[in-house]
Amino acid sequence: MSFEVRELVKSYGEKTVVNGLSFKMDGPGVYALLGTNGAGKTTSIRMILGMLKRDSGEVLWNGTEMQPEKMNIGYLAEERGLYPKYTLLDQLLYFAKLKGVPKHKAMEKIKYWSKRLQLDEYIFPTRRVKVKGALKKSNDPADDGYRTVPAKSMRAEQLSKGNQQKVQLMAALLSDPEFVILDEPMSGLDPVNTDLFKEVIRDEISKDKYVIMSSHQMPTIEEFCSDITIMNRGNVVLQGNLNEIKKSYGRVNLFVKCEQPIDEYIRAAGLTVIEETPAETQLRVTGEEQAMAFLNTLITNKITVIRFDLREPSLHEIFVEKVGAGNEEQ
Amino acid sequence: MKSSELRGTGEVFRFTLIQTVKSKAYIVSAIFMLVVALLAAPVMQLIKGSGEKKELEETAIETVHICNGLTFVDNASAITDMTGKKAFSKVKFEEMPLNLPGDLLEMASTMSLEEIAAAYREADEANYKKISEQLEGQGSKCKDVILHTYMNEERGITVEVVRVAGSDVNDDECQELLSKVCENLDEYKIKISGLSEDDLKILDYNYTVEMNYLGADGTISAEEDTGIGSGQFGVAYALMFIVAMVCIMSGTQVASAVVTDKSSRVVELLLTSVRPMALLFGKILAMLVATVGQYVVLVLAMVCSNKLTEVLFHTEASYLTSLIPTGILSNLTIVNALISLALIVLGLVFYATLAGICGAMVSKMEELQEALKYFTFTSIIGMYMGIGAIIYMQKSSTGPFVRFCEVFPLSSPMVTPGARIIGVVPITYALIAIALLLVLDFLLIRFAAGVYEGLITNMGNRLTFKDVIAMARNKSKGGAK
Repeated sequence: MSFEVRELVKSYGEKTVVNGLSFKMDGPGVYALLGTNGAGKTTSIRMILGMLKRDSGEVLWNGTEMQPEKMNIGYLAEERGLYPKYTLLDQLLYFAKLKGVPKHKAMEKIKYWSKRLQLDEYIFPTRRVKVKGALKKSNDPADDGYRTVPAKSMRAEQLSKGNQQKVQLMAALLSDPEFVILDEPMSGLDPVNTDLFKEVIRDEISKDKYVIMSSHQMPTIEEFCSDITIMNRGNVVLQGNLNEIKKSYGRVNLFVKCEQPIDEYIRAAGLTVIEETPAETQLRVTGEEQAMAFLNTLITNKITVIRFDLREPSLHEIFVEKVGAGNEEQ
Repeated sequence: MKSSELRGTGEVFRFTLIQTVKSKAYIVSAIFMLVVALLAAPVMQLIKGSGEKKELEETAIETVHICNGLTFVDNASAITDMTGKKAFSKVKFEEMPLNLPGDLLEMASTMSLEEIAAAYREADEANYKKISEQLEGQGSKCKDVILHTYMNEERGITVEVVRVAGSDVNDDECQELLSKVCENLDEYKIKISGLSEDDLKILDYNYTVEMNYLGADGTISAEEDTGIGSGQFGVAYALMFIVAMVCIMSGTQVASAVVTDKSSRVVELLLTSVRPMALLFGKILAMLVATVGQYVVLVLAMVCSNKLTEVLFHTEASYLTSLIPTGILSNLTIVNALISLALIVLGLVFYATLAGICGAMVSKMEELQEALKYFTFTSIIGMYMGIGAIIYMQKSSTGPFVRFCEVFPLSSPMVTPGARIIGVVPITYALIAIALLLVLDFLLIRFAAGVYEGLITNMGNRLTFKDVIAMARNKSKGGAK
């Protein structure tokens, strides 16, 4: 199976919000769509899902035009949505039904996910009631005459934002979709829930699913995605395999920490300081040779080197560089 | 519009209907309406009494003292005949003799009519004063009443019954006496006028006014004066009002449901499973069923309550039934009912679709009222045209304005069903109205199919009607895929 987007274009009046987006997934995996706010990521996702009509371009699934309404797609939208006044259980059953999941199966899935995402107390809450009549109290001395009975599922408006986000992830994955789109899945989550989400996403990836992820959190993208597209103002500014992109930049980031001041040696070597913090100094080098020459200089001058780390640029740096350049060009 | 675009309509319908019916607002309004419907018949019965007059079985009146000031009634016994009034069989009727001047008869030929009448009036007033003082003296134990008849130019013939305040004699008994005396007076007037039975029949004949037109082909076509009566007006107006209310209520609910989807951002999730038109139609159907269901329950409750009232109050027709003129619904055949139903359903679909489009133009609940102005404006035009047509029908149900309103798609769902049921709309006009509504619904649904997708996914600022038209134009040009 393969998924391909070809020359996707969308304009609103004079403004082109997506200009010729193309990418391909030859097999299961995670593809990242990156970009600043307003870069056209969400518009592209909406076009892929058939929510928005495209001006031109193609979205292909297995080489033929993709029909989202006939596929099993899980979508976690950037603009989160739940009916505030309806109960969580009613909504989840409704979303599952729309995906063609039978009620009993949907119920099983909801129970599974509510446990996994720690939402049991909201979706299947219980309450203590005093038992009346003959069954009032057993001989057990620990029996206080109360029983725990199921209560009405809570309404979405009664949940915190983070918990609502978990319910939405649950809604996206209820039908066990083959194609998953996660638009900013971790935004606004606390570290504990971020880890919970990551674990769920890892599981989905392990099931050989096609996942498209859009995020501003670069470490998350680096953790999950093999291929990326960086968009800026509707245009693709960088695209390809993340490792290869990084490799193409070479190891040009040098992180140094020494006991003595090294400013004069940096100046003498003609290196550019990218960032200077109490913990380390980040320098830009042309390659390994220049880095080694700098290290020799430090050792020759009896400078105590605590850290000397030569690395490829991070995705964050590549992103800032590419998007920054794009903005300057604009 | 392809059939695949409607996939999922059933699910949307079921969910929307269940959630609407489960909502507090719906339950509270349904209970309120149900209580009103159930109590309407018994309460009206208690307040107004039965529609049919129940015969008085007995009376506390012992003696009726007659003060007859009517010059044309020689003998008061002619107007106090109580045949058929069982309750008055033991009541004594005593005529107070008029104390006329002794020389009145001798001088009558030389007196004017006014002078004679004045003499009678004087004697009658003296009589009345005397007997009223007598009864007053007896206090509240007095069970006698005065029947006073007199005449003057301003008020014509006056028939009054006077009783002592606080006595056992009640209003119903006095009313019964009065109505019988008036009936007797009518008969007496006819009798002294010398009219025969045949003369009376002629006097009773109604008028039928016709305006006939001689056509070019020599045929005479009759144009009847078909102004509707108050009963027909009531039925047509009530039905128009109910249809208008259902249109406005269900339309507003559809718009509100659409905005809820957008404002809560659920629409993005829904659109991965269903197409926008399925979302719209599911909601329209659900809101129509919810609103119409509420009214059906209301009518059924009213009918049951009315039947129960008739049984409990031992009456053949409750006060509520008596308000509906007999034979008014004789035109309510199956065909006419189906025609009316088709018109109502098509009208509801039109207004609900329009409201759905209006709702999709905004993304926030607080902007809904502003967006609904197009819907409100259209429904108010329809409603006022309907009211105007039904009012005009009282004068003539065949006037050009009435005929126009009967077929005009904004007003026809409100006017034509009721007018058809009371039998004032020819079937051709009703069918034309259905055809026009079908065309309008088809065009509006096509328009909605073209713009709804763009509207529902627009999460930005409120769109104007101009934007919506631009979207439709863009679609018709094939600009979007």
